Amino acid sequence: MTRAFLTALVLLSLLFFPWQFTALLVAGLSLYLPLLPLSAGILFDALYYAPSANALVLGAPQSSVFGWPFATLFGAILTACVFIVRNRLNTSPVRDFGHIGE
Amino acid sequence: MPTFSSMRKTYLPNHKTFFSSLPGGTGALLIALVVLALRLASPELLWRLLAPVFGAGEAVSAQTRSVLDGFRNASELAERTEKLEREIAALSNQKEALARENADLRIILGDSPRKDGKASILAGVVARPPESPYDALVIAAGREEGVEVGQEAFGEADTPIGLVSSVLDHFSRVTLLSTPGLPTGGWAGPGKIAVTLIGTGGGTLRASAPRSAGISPGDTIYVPGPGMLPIGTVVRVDEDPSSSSATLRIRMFANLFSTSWVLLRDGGHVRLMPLIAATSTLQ
Repeated sequence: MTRAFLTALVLLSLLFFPWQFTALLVAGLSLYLPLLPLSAGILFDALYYAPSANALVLGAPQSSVFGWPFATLFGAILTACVFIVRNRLNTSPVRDFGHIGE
Repeated sequence: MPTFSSMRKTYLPNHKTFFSSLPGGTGALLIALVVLALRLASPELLWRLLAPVFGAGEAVSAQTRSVLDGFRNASELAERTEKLEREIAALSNQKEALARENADLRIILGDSPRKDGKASILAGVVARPPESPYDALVIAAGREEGVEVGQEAFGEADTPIGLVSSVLDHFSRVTLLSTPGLPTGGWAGPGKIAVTLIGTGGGTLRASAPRSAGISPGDTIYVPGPGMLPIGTVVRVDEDPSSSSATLRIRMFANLFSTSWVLLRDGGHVRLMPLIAATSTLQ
């Protein structure tokens, strides 16, 4: 129930709130919902990314991260980091404190 | 290692189902993949479904704003109203001056507003920054309404704000001139110094100009169009003593974060460097 509520909250914030707020929310919940950063990134780019915009920059190398679907990239990186952290915590000697979100 | 009863965790019978054993966020990932698939397969349908959602968000924001305004101090509201009225009067005068200059230039250049007789297209904005981080607007007008790639988008007071970069049947995407890295030719200051405007995101641009040009904060920036179209103002000039050029920091006149409609007209190709047709399947 909690997971569903938090997931719905993030999905709604993608539509209604500034992306900076959504990014903070996702970063804060990522340890609890590890696939959330990747999901939010994919959804962000599915809604807002415009690859045709890059065609307007004639002859210029990609000078800005905004030329790429950066939300998916950063989401994937954050998800990978969260899984690594969770894995390290779960295999640590203090196992009782390592089971996050279960 | 001896264990103590206080260290033991009492586990209740754990009836883990398949779904609860999945990593957190799996449901969100499935939803994201469905939306992505919808955008790849049928972007028109996706925006048809989302347009009412964005509209609902706008309505809630407007209601919230009006409710919160009711709690403000009456004198503070009166002061704010007076300040806004003064700004409106100043902007009206500026608009009249610019309209006169525009008319004079059209007489000089022998240009007419609509050479091909095509009317402007008025389109509502479905999604805009800051929800979208890519300096793009999604508008509710597409191929069926006569929108074409390369058309120029104008905001309030006929201010150019961007170019149509992709078109669906009933929706289109306008790439804003402030898109990071996007170059646009223009002029700066009263001396109309030719500069290349580079988008820096969030409705801002930058340009380089010779220090000797004497461009200062408050000077207007223009882009080509029927004559010269004012697009923004210089808010800061960064000078490096070791360099002969100065960096102009520019803010667009149009408030991209509250734009609710745009006017589309042909003519974007005049300014647009050759457009490479996007071959991506993402529209």
